[in-house]
Amino acid sequence: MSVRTNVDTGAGANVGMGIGTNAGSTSGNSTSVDSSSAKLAGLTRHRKAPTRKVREKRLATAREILRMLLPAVALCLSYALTTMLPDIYPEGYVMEYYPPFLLGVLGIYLLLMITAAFVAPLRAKLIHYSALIAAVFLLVEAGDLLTLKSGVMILPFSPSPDRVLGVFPKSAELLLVNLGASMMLLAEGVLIGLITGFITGTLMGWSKIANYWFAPLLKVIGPVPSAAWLPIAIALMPTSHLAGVFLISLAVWFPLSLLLSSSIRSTDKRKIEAARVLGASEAYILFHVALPAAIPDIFMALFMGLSSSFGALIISEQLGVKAGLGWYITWATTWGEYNKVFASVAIFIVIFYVLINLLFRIRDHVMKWQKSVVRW
Amino acid sequence: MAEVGGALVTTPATIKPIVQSVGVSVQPAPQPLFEDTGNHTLIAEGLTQTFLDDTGGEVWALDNFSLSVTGPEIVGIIGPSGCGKSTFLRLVVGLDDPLSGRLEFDGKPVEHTDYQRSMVFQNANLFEWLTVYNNIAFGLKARHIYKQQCYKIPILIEMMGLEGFEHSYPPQISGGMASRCGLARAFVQNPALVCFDEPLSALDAFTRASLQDEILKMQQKSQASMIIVTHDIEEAVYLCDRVVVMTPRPGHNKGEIVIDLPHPRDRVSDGFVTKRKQLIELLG
Repeated sequence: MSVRTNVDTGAGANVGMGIGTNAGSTSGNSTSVDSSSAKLAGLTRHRKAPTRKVREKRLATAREILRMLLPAVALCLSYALTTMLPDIYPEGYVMEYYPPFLLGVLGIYLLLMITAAFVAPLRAKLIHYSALIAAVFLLVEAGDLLTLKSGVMILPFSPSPDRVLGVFPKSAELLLVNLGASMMLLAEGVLIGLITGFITGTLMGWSKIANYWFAPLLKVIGPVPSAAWLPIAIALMPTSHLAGVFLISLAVWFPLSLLLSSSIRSTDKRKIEAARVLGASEAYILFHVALPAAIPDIFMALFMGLSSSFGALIISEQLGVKAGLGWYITWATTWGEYNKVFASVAIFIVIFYVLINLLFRIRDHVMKWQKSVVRW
Repeated sequence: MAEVGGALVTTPATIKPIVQSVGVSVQPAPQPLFEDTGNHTLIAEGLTQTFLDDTGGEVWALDNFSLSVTGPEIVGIIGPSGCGKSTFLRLVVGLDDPLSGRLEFDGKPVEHTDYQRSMVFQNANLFEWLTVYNNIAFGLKARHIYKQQCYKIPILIEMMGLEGFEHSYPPQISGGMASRCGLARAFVQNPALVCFDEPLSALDAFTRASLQDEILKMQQKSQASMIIVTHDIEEAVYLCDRVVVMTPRPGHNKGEIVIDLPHPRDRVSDGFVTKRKQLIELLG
């Protein structure tokens, strides 16, 4: 076997190691023997890796452009239908908000399309979601046809899109006040739940004594849904606001302390031993090995806790609290103003979506070292 | 297989100039990478150890096992799988207490873990949530001497050929690089004794050969004692000054072979092959 072949094999085996270390290398400064040994050692520095040809920039195929146009077509169709057909039910109702809304959305979408011509990621997203967006607006138009245009679905339970949209400008102030109250309540509850959950979860995971005292409490209290606690919470807490905070924090506290404690207890023993051998104290291991290793579980718990805290928020607002979107929903229901209920639910959808999305963004940032497990 | 052997033969002879040139470029550093902490001695006498297996049954792992290590020598431990080699290493670094027997390091009984007795784990066992740099820095930070000694980290990263990967996370680097990082993590502590628990068992032949040379290089520079547990007879003959052979479980001393070949060792030289044969015969 010739030396030449050996060199080749060595270089091939070490290609992975050379990447990134070739920056400082200059070509042609070493003899062949030197470079072969260096390659075998995995320390250097092979010739520059071939790069992929940059693909020509193209806007989109005809089919993709057609797909991108789908939502615009749907919006135009909705606009045409709603303006040309007469408003029948209820008699004398004048449509105000729906057509301008459609035009506004159309304008925004056209702007997005123009931007997408220059921004490739946005273009891919638009193409991907175009059919879905189109379907949503066709569905809304179907609602319009079934209510305002025909009276098949009757008031007060099935308000037309125009009525629902009208709530936002008409009751903007009231909505904002109630939204603010809801968010305050949610923030206080989640914050307290986070702090207490972290403390009890860490204590239970690390100390057997804490686990002895807290685990039964967790197992008894945790699985009971917030709705069951509500009367007790209102009776025990000095104010209904505190009762709401209590319910929401309970909803966050339970999954966080449960998952955190079990995660800390099941920390990979090999990691703990590695830290111990490197001279780490028990406290250092807790904060620098057990807790970081539990980060995936912590985010899982936060996801679960946040989801159930939304439920707790609505329930506590519907019975206990004097302001908040949950309270607003109940209040609107008693007056038979279902358009306000729909509008509030729409706000909740947006808020909860944004909050959960934010959580996953933070998770992806914190856990750069791991591929996401739960996709959102 | 003969081809692979042939390729490996060229390694030790040709690798040295590179290794030394890296050493030269590192020397101008203001502070030393390794401080001389004097001669250290580990004495293990009549160690017996049992442990509970997964089903709760008691396993007799070590029976009256003795070994002493003095100064900068590399001692290999070899034996059939499950014979208590790893159990012995756990006792040495202080992760477990022996059932009976005497285990002393520098005249003091080994009771708990200490940074002076470090360990390089199987599959590197890095912390996935820390970058390569922070993995190496872990021991210094844990002992609160990071500020004084962090200058060592870039030197070790360069020695181990990890430049450009300082900010990568362990799942993003290859097995060989993870092993290099594991070596650096142990040696940044300036240990007096380093235990290797089958450190290279999961690596391919080429990576293993270059890692073996890294281990020799670190031993040369740090003058630490090393105990290397391995399944690989050739690796034992290539690295060690003497090799202790253990019996099947419960493990006790079966014999010892002194390997007095000079480094770098030629894997197909007569001396190497003879020692290898002796070791295989002793293993039975």
